[in-house]
Amino acid sequence: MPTLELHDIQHIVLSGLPKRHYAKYLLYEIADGEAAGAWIQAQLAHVAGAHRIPNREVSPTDRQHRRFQLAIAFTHTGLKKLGLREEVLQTFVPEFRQGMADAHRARVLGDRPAEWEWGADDRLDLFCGIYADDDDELAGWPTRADGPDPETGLRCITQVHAQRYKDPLIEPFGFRDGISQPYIEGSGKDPMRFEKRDRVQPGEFILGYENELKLLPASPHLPKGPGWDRAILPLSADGAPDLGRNGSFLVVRHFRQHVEEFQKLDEHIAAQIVGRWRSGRPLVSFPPTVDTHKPRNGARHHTPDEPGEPVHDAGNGRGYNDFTFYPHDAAGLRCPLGAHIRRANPRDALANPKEGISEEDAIKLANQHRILRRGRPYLGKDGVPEGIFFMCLNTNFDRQFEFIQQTWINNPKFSGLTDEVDPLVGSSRFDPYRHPMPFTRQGCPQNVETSLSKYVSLRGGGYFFLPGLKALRYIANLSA
Amino acid sequence: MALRLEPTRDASEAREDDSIARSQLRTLLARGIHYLSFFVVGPAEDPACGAYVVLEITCDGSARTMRHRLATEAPDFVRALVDSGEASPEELERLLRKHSHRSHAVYEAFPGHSVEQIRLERAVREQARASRVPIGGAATGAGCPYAGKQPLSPTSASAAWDEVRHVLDAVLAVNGEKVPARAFVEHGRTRPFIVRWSPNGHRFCDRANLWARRLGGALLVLAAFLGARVVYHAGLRAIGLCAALGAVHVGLTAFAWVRESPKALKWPGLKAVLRRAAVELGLQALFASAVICAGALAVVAVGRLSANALLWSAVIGVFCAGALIRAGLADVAKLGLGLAAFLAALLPASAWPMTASILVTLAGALPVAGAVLFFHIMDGPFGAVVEGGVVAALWGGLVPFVWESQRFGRADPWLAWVPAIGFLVVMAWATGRLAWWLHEVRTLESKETPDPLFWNLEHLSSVQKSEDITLQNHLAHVANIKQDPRGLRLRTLQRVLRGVNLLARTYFTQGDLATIRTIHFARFVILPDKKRLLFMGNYDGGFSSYLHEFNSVGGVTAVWSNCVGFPRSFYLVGDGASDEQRFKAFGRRYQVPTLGWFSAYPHLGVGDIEAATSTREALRRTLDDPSTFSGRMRARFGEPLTEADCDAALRAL
Repeated sequence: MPTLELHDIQHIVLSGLPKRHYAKYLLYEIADGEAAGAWIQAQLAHVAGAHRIPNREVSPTDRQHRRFQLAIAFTHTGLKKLGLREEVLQTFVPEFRQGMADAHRARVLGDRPAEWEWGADDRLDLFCGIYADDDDELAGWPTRADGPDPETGLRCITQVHAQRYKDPLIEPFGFRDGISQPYIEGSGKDPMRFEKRDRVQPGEFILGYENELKLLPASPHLPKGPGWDRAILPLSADGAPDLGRNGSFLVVRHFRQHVEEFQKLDEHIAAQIVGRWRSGRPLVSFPPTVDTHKPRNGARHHTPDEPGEPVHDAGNGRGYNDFTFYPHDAAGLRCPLGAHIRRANPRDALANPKEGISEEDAIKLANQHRILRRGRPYLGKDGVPEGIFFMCLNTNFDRQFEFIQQTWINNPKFSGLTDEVDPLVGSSRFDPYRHPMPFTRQGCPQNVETSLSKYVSLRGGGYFFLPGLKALRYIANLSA
Repeated sequence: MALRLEPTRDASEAREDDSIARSQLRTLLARGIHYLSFFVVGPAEDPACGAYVVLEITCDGSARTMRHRLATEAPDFVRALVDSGEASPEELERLLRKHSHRSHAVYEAFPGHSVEQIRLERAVREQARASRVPIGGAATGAGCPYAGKQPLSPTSASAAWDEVRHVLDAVLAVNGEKVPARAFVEHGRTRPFIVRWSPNGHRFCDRANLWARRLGGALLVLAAFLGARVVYHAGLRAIGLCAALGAVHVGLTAFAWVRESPKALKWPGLKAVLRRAAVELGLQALFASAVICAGALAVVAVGRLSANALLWSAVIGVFCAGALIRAGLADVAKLGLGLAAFLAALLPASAWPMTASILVTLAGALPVAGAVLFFHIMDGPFGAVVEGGVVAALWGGLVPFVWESQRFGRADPWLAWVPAIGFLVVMAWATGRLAWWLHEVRTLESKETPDPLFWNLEHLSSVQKSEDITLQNHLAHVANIKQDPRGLRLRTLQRVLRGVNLLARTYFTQGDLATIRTIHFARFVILPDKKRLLFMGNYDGGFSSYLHEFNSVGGVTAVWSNCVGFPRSFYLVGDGASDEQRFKAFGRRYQVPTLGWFSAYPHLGVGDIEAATSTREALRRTLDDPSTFSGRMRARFGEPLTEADCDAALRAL
């Protein structure tokens, strides 16, 4: 069992901060590195470590002092502007250095950065997430957008208000979200709340620890030198000051959801696009009536307001996450092969005993490509939920986030399908606007093909480095 | 076919700006070429390593035909490539031949699929799907050809069949032409010595062809058996009979070949193809007769043969190993059986029953075949012939054979020990060599230190510029072979490549390479300066996921651990590629930007090609077997045919 240095890891890595109901996300351009560094130094006290998680009982006085907390992350250009030397910048993984808006990356992810509202140029530097107990704390942050704020040296590129957090979290299409999350070994959370197959090594999400391949992920570091003070930055295994230790990489994608388009869909089809009913019940455990040609009979419904009878062979039906796809739904008759949750996390669907891949192997393989989601739905100008501010954490872009995006979500040949991508968030990299888009629902006696329009558009995004607390202090002090 | 051309000027200028060359290329690429790519391998610091322009072509037909086509159909392109402005097509062809270079290891997902076959089968599959259900908002089976029809009773099954047949006929015909059972193909890289029949070849043959091949194989075996018996009794006159039987075998195979000719495709190269077919058939006739005649001659020359099963095991083992190295797996089976039958007929003097004799002979062939293959991998053709020959001779007991031939028909058991001991000595020596080799490799490995992780962003951008534009990608990779004073790394690399080539040609012929199903074609070439290894691959999906699949494949480590910059390996196959980020960094660091690349089917994956072939096969089988179609449906559903049944039949596509 690995021991995590919780006091050095930013709190957002180990928790979505559900008790902080209000959140705001600010994206900045750094115009003046020194001023920005000084401002970040001033905010350091509010960046909480993750060691607060096991201490569930927080004293009221403590809470009063900390009515809000921050998550701070930097892009490659942001680190450069704050004064990080080139030889250190070169130790970051190339995906981070190239950024999400890079031409090749856009092909890999299926994006068109030219149509983004923010993030497509070199000016995105700093991400600041504010999580507060109430709305007032969200005011009073530098939000000047037309030019840099002289005190802080920051220009606000965009600000996003998250929807008030409520459990269960419902996203703008009406579906329950955030049901499936990996469990980080050694994080101290209650393991009984998570499925056994969701247990993932910490190195998949936190730099400095072993990942699923039993290797240490490539971590940015300073050049080796004599007499390095360990209090400033810890040392890596080969003696170089490890800038990345206890940090992570953050992917931000600002999605607008076309709710009116989506509401035109029939309830069955909507559920089959996602892979769950609106309540969050998975289709695998609660399939729609078996014969889609027969008319729905009210008496056969499990609940009066939701179709689908429970089937307990794929899981025990208790929770909403204790199901697997193989072998009971290997053909996709309950949850379509191209459905969103099936593409985003195939679980053991890759099993193939004929080729020697057992279910355990398949789960292990799928666990090499997990991401930790931390985003929330956000509100538009009129306070109506408009989309999702997607955030996810990983340590190895090309094996985790980009792999999911390119090889599962946007792969027209996923799972033996011929020419379709994820119906919810997919975009064919060959033609991002090829709509109506086909979507096949496996059926007996034959498959049914429908065509769908575009339900989600990307407004902007970026790749960020979310440092550990010591590293954050080091970076903030660079220009001092 | 991979050509290597030395540039006389700076070859990094983009050739795609030459529009005449491009239009000629378009003509060339319209038929017969799966993939074409060209790129530049820059000079290294070592003065012996010059710069090369590499043209890689994966095509149907022989390399010679391809060179001729290049020189005549796209002369300007070739002139630009070799930088000879005024050369005539004949000179160009000579130049191309001069610079042609064979590949050291080649992998093909589906050996035997021609471009035409892939394209036509894909069209068939699209038509089959289109005739099933339209793309639209329909949530029911509307659009099914049988929608709204009454359930059919058994008596009208034939009427139902007519309708189904009509639909299937329409689906199976593309542009008014019926898709042939198997388009004649022979990829120029490997030249089969005997007609190549892949282990699943019958999937692509229709019934008549299938039976022609089976009969041919059976006839060869029978001919061998009978011929031997006849020769045993009748001497030289029997050679004529053997030759006649061999000719019948060849004739039946020829029938299969002609039926599969590209005539139905209206392939312009028909004459050349038939000429080549004649050459191949002639070769086969020669071989078949030679096997029988040589045996017969041996019998006649040496006199009555004693029952030395070991000697004949050695012969069979050598022949089978040779066939494996040269041709393919099924030919080995054919050969082995034929020879065994031949020789079994010569073992009546033995006290053992016939079956036991055959079994012993075949079982005895395995160690010899294994030894020949081992020496082929260790030392190349020299090893296979010389060292393998020594092994075969020892096993066969040459010495006692000579002694024994002076006495008729009696086998002295104790003499069998001499070759047995000799064979054991050779095996011990071979094992020792293997162990010593691995030990030396391990010594070299333990002295290595892992490189720090490093990415050059500029280089990365230059190779990524042309990636992920279609579903498929090309990878050109030039690695430097580690230099050590005794050349151990180079020798190891050559051995590993021979092993990989053998496996790729005999075992991995069903679309997967060690469970990886995203590679179309891949090849390894050791450059003539013997200091660099060139790898070229055409694969589906992105670079990262492609390399990630090799995470646990030992063969990848075995090849590239001999190259500079690869993560450290453990006994040649361990670790290495499983150091994921270093492995990917190595792949990117030595990748060379591909200047030009063509794919005949850029949006098809390996799985698509396989599915299309299965679809066509399923439909063809249905067409061929009308009497059992309704019977099968009835047996499956136990009731009269309904529209759902027909749906199910077509949905299985």
